[in-house]
Amino acid sequence: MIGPFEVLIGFIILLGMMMAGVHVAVAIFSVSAIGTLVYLGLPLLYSFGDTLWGTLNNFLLTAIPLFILLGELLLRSGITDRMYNSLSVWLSRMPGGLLHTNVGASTVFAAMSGSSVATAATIGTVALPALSDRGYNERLALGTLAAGATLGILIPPSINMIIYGAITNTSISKLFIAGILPGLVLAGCFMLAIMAFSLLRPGVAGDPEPRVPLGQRLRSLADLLPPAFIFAIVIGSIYSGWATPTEAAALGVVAALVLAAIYRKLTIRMLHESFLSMARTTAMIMLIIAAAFFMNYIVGILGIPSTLTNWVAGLGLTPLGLILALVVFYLVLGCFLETLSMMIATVPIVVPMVVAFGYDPVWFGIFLVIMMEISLITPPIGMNLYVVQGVRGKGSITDVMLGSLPFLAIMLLFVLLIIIWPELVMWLPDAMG
Amino acid sequence: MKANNVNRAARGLAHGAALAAGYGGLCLSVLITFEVIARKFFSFSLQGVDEIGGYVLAIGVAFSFAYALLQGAHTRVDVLLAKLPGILRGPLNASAALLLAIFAAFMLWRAVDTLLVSLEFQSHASTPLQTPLWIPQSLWVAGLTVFALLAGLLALRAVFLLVTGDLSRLNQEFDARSADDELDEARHDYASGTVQTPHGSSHS
Repeated sequence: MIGPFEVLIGFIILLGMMMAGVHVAVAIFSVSAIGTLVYLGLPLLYSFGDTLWGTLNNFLLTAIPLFILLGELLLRSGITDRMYNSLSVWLSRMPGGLLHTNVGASTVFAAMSGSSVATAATIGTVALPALSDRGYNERLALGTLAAGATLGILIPPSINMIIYGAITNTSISKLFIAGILPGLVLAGCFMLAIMAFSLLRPGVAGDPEPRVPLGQRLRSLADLLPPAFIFAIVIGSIYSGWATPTEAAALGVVAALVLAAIYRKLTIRMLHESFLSMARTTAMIMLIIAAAFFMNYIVGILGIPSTLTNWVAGLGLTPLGLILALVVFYLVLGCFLETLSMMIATVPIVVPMVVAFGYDPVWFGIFLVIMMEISLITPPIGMNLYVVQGVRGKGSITDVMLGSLPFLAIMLLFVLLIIIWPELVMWLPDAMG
Repeated sequence: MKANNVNRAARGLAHGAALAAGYGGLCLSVLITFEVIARKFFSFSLQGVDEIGGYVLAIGVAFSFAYALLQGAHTRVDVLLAKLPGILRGPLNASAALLLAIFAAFMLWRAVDTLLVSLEFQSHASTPLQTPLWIPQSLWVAGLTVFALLAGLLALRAVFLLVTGDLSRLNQEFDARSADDELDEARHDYASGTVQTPHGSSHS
């Protein structure tokens, strides 16, 4: 009914509108509306009201504001500083010192928060003062912050996985669980790289940290309990099947309120600030999602996924060839589009095609999230680069970009790893049954 | 000035609605927590918490759209835009505002239609609660109305500034939020909870 050439024209119109500064949601809706009017007629366009109600009145998506609220409460609850100090006592004796703490703290914060930007800003704020005092190679230190924070969307909970799961009808619980191992392995790769740099060029890691007595080290472990508590409640309840992701988010919110109260940070003002942040971020995401669900619906009726699948098959592309082409596609797109918009606008078309080529939608979700992590630190618009630079507040953004490059290379290699060895992603969710 | 009063009233309304959405999320979390614990340990279920959760999202988001609009939070891509001279950016900013207003109006129009159909057929949710759909849908439409009105007002303002040739003002008020603004906000929000400025103030 609709050929690959028409799809390409649609995609160009979409990109063109976005580049011209039209709101992303409006651009996604407009191109879907044009497709509807040209091929399907007015009545289908009028069904948008029902789509909108169906999209917004959705308990699955209620997880999004609740996880955002959880993150907002946590970062105002004062547990991050304590957590960073505790981790530094344990990790900073390795070659690379506090740089490991940056990665470790990002990993732990990621396990409570569903956003990379929040992770970058929080850990950056805590870490940068400590780093500048002690003679660390500034670029490498900035790179560990920007890259480490990208783990925020890979290690569950993850807002991006909720959106992916909702659009593609993939189990969000499985996506969450599938993100755990790759997240930990990727964090381990970052740490190995830091160790390698420090051994090759001893100057980069600054002065060695003083040895901390064992008793004090053990006592500092207490500050890791709150993050462990949140993670156990949120991810534990999902893994054991006690709670759906939305319910787990609600449990997390209540737990975070209790923690904030224990640390004496729970005030009306703190609550209101969290609420306003939640409302702003949720509305921003949901406007795009509402448009994307309509696009998803229209794209399905028009048969675009099967058109593209046949076209790609006709090119003689193997499944591996397709995935490698998508690596390049997302790398290039990441240089122009904001990460979340990039995912939402492409998922309705790309995922059915990939699944038709025999890939598991859970595996592809993790693949996509890692590609999004890469785009978060890809110049010129990688969001994490700007957040870290903003927290730093001096010097040039180029330092952050250059410092992140080695980690960008590691992440690309990591994508190849999960392509060659998909079990790394699928082992835990398969074990979950 | 009259325009100023309208502006302030709109901001107050959007701010209050966003706070209400926040309280909605908080109450929902407590309700869900109660439900999960009751279900797990006392084999007892409240019934319909998920349905209420869906309504809270639909209504809360509809009311938050306007707040996000006033905060300039609705995503735009500014890679190209930021490099253009003001004379080109002005018309692009105005058309983005205009298209958003048209989209918001279309959303409202179709939502009203959905509500009218629910009223006409007296539709009930096919759930244990049997909620008459017009109740949540009316609140949802009310939220979308605020959004459409605000988007319309902003679009009128943008077109007015464009027609009168006040491009610098237009760009000042309607430029896409740059990465700088975003990071100001991130720094502001995430500085370990030591937030100083009163909430609700615009960050642009």
